[in-house]
Amino acid sequence: MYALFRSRPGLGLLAGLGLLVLAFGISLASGLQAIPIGTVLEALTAFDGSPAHLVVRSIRLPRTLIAMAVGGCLGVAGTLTQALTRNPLAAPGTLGINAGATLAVAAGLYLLGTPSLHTLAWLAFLGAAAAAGAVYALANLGRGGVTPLRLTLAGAAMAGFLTALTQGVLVASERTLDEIRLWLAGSVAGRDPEVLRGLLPYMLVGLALALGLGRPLNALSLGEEVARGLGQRTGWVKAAGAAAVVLLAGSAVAAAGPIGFLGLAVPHLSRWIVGPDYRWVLPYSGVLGAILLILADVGARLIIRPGEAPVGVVTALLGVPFFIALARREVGRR
Amino acid sequence: MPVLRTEGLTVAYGETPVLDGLTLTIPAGRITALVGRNGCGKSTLLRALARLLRPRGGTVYLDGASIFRMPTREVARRLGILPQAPTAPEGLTVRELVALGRYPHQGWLRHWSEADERAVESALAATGMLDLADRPLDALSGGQRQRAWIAMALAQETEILLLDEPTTYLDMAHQVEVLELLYELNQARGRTIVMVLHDLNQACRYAHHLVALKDGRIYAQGDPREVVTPEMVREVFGIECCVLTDPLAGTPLCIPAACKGCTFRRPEDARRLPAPPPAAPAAAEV
Repeated sequence: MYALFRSRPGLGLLAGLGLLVLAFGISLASGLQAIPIGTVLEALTAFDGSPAHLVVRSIRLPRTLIAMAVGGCLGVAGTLTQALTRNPLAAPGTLGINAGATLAVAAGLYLLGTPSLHTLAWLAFLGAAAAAGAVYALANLGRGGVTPLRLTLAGAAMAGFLTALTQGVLVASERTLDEIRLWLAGSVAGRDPEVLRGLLPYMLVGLALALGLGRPLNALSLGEEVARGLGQRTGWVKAAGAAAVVLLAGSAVAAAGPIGFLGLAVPHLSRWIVGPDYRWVLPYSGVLGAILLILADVGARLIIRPGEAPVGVVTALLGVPFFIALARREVGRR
Repeated sequence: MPVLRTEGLTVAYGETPVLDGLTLTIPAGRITALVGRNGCGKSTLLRALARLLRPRGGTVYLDGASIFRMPTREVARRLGILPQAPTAPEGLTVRELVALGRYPHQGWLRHWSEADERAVESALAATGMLDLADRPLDALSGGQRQRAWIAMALAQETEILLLDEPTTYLDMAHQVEVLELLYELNQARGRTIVMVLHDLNQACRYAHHLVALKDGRIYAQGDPREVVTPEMVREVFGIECCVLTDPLAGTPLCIPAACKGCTFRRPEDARRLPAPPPAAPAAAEV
């Protein structure tokens, strides 16, 4: 199974896209009321306004599309973060980037009343960028510069701090609390399809930027000095990568709130399947992230029936054991 | 032949200067070894030669042009650098690593070409890594891994190759293997090689030109047979030694006696050592 698609990465990506279609179908069919796949297809191709068709088209289709987009963004953002920092424990969640975007959005909702989607998106980008910059500066303090351990610790501290601030904003405003409680736990349910339409351009720019970085990231994976020796302007590569992370993680948070662990786990799974070549790891992470978040959202609908869990809770339930196993392995290696 | 030289090169970390107005010309087509104590600035000099460090004063010229003003990719096509103990991502194969050496020859539009393929194959062949090309790096021995990294630098097809302690962490056999490989590359292909070496005797044996650094300045440079004397070793390394002639290579061979302040300095002092146990003849070599 290890590096199964290493020698034929295109085939694996095709298989991944097939799985994505399958997951998409499962997501449209599952929920409180299971809908047969035939009816799902009819709802998409020959909509007749029946309750089942309505559920598929106006509830499950938007949330599945959002889960797909957000999962893809978080997967790619996680891979970029790990590649840029050369740190296997780095991810938008663990480095406090998601928490920064969340605080900025929460504060925006509190201070501005009902800001437009684009305002919220830019607030999320600003929050993500500020948190990333602060974590890097914090890890860079003192002698020896940024090490993986320092970066991870700085990220954990920053994430805790920003989350506490977000709680503070919520306590200060009851209205904000009600409005964003579900969003804060990370959820793709009940979101306006317009949200996705508005955020899609940012996501696509982020994805395009990320996919263009595959070859430079391969060189950078040999270390900063080797990459510079090979004639890479590493500052530009890192800046472009950071911009892509901010766009991807920021728009994911604006769309679905902070969803943790996906950005951490997906890069490892992708490398495990296709090997270390970032020209393939990046697209694999996008597809895999999309599949996993769709399936996690299906799980969120089913685990506490008739109620529904936020999808962020499901990714945390799956992600924490993964994180612990990973941390143990990485610590054991050093 | 490419000419790499420095003029008034000054590099400082914070306030302390590590290199102090250093002027040096690297002989083209030869092997140059940089030697000196820890912290004497030899690695700093190598990194500055490879434009990895920005000097505070002076510059490095490659055929008359400052390498800090040239496009970095153009420098990378002419000058390769292998840092000390580089690390590769888990699972990367030798061939994939060596292919990354073609990075400066590729661009957004110009991707993998036949010239790239030829360069990789020839680098693998020159380092004897063809049989191991599809193995992941983490499955290789230290010496094989270092050969793979050298193959990556060779695939870059540069006239000049800079190496920072290429024998660190290797056992004696692998050290010799790596140095022989570099010597061959120099002899067969005329590459200019500059390397930082810790072992003075290895430097004497494999380098045409020895540069001994002390406190950020050049203390002595030239043919090892002329440069290596007990006085030079005392001044540069702070150790008393006896310089013999290597019976195999005819190069200087430095036998360390003791540090300054120790009493054991002259052959007649050897009597003070405890006599080897008579039952174990192997121990007599110690």
